[in-house]
Amino acid sequence: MSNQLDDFFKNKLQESTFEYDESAWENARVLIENDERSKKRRYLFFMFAGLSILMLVGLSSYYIGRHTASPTDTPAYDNTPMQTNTFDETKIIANSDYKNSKVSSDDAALAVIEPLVTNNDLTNTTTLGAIVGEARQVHITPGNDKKNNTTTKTENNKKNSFNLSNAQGVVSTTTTIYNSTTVVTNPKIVNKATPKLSENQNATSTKDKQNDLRQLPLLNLQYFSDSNEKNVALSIEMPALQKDVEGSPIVDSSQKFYFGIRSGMALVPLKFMDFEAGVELGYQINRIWSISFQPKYQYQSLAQNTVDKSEIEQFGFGLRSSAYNLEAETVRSIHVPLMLSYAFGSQSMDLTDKLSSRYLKNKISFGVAYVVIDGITGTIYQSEAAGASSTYQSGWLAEHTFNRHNAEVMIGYDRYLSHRFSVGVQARYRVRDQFTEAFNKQNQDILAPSAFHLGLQANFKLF
Amino acid sequence: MHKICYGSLMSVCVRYKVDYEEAKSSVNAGFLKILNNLNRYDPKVPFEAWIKRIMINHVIDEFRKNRKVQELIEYTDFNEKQIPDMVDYNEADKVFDASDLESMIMSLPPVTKKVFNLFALDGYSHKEICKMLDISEGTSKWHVNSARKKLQELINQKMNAQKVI
Repeated sequence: MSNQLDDFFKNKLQESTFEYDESAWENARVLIENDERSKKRRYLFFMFAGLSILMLVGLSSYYIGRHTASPTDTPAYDNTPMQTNTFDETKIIANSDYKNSKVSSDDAALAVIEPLVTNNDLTNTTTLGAIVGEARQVHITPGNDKKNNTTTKTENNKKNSFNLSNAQGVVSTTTTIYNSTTVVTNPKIVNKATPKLSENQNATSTKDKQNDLRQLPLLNLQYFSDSNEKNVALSIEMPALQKDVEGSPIVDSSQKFYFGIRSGMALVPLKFMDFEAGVELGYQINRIWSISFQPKYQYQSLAQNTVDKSEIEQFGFGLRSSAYNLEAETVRSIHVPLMLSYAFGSQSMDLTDKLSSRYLKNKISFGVAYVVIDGITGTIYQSEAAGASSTYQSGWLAEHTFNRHNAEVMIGYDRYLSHRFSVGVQARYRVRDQFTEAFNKQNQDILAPSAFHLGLQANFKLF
Repeated sequence: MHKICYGSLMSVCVRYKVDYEEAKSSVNAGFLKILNNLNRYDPKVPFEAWIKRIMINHVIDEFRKNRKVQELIEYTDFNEKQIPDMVDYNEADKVFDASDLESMIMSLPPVTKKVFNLFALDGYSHKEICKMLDISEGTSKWHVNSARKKLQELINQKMNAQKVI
C-alpha cells in the first residue's frame, strides 16, 4: 500500500537529528542585521517619499492658490487697507489722459487707472479700480488732476480701499483709494521678463509702444464700482491674447514636434558608475497635451574588478503625456507627466558559475513635475522644471544574478540656461539594492549600488 | 532561539531542497520570518508545529517566486491509482536510516518532491496543494503517484544491492 510508504517515510524521518551548525548562526546573524538595515531603509524611503509628496503638493497648492484668480473675477473688497499710505506726489506720473501718460518703461506700464472722479461726500463714495489680468505687470498711474485733493482718512474710507493682491501673476502692488483722493503707495513693479509681442505688435516701434498703451497686448482692465452712479466702463480696446504665442517649444503651433537629447550621470556613489542618455521625440497634440517617445540607454558598471563581467545595460522607452493645469499661459503650473514605460535590456553578468540569463525588465513609471511658464509675456517656455517620479521595475531573472525588481523615487530639478539647454540635478532613492541577497552572499566583495543616488543631468532641445 | 529552532527547521528544509547547503540557507531565511512574526504566535499552538508551518510556507513561497512556467506540466485528467506495494517495510526499516530517506526525497524532481512532501509527510490535502502551488488537483495527484513509484524503486534498488553484497 502506498500509504504504508508514506507512513514509513514519516516515521523514519522523525528520527532525523541535525547537529547545530555554529556557522549557520553567523549567516543568520548577517541576515538579521541586513533585515534591520533594510527595515531602516524602508522607513527612510517612506519618509522621503512622503516628504516629497508633501512638498510637491504644498508647492503645487502654493502656486495654484497664488495664481488662480481669473482676470474677470471681481476681487473682494478688503475692509482694511493693506498699508497706511502716505500721499506721495512723486509716484503720480500720469494724468487723466492715459494716452499721454508717461511710463517708466515699455515693460512696466501695462495698466492705467482712470482718474478718480469723486466727491467729498463721505456717505456717497465711489470706488474705482482696475483688476489686472493674470500675471500682467502693472503700473498704477492715477490722474494728477486730483492730486491736490486732501486725503481724509476716516473709518468709512477704509471701505473703499481695495487691493490687487488677488490678481494673478507677479503683481504685488497694493493700492488704497480713499474718498476724494487716490493714494498709490509703493507700487512694486516686478520686471521679470521682456514681453514677446505678436508679429503685428513687433512692428510697432518702442516709442509707439510707450506712447500707445493700447498696443500692449496683455492688458485687461475691468471697471468696477460699488456705486452705480458712475458705472461707466472704461473702454480700452485691447487685442485678444494670442493663443499661438511665439517662442514656445511647447505650444507653438508651428512646432508640433520637438526633439531633445537628455543625459545624466550619477555622482554618488562613485564606486558604481551609472550613466544614462536618451532622446525625446515629442508631439504637441494640443494646447494641453503632448506625447513623447523617450528611448534611453542606461549603463551601470561596478568600479571594481572582482568579477569578470560587471556591466549592466539597459534600454528603455516610454510614452509621456503632459497636462498643463492652466487656463492661460500665465503662471507656474503643475506638469503631470503620465509616464508609461517599458525597459528591456540584456545583462552580461556571469557572476556565478552556472547562471547566465537574459535580463528583462518591465518598468512602470509615474510621476509629477512642474514647469514654470512665463505669464508676463504670454509666452510659454520652460525656465525651470522640477518633478518627482517613482518607478517600479520587475523582471524575470535568475535568482543569483540581478535583482528581480526594485522600486525607486526620483526628484529632479532642471534650470534652462538658454531656450534649448538645461542642466539639473536629480536625487534618487531605491527601495532595494539591485542585487539579490543570494548574490550578495556569494559575491561579498561586490559593492552593491547605494540606495541613495545623486546625479547631474543635462538636456538639449534640438528643435 | 536559533539553536532551538534549527533542528526542526532543518528537518523540513532537507526534504524540500536540493542539498544541505540550500537547506541551511533556507533555514536562516525561515528563521528570520519566525523572528519577524513572533508577536503573532499563539501559545495554544505547539511552538514546533508553528515554526514548521512557517518554514513550509517560506519554502513554498520561494518555490513560487523562482519557478518557471515551463516547469509545470498539467495533468488535469489524472486519476490516482493504487500502486502495488512491492516493499518489505520491516526489512526497509532495518536497512535505511533517516538520512538515506532524505537523500531519496532530495533526488525527486522539484515539483514532485514538493507535492509529495506536502501531501504525504506534512498532511496537506490535494486541494490545499493546488492552491499553494497553483496546479490542478489532477497534477497534484500525479506528482504524489510519481513520487511513490520512484521512491519504491529507489528503496527496492538499494535493498537488492544490499542483498547482493
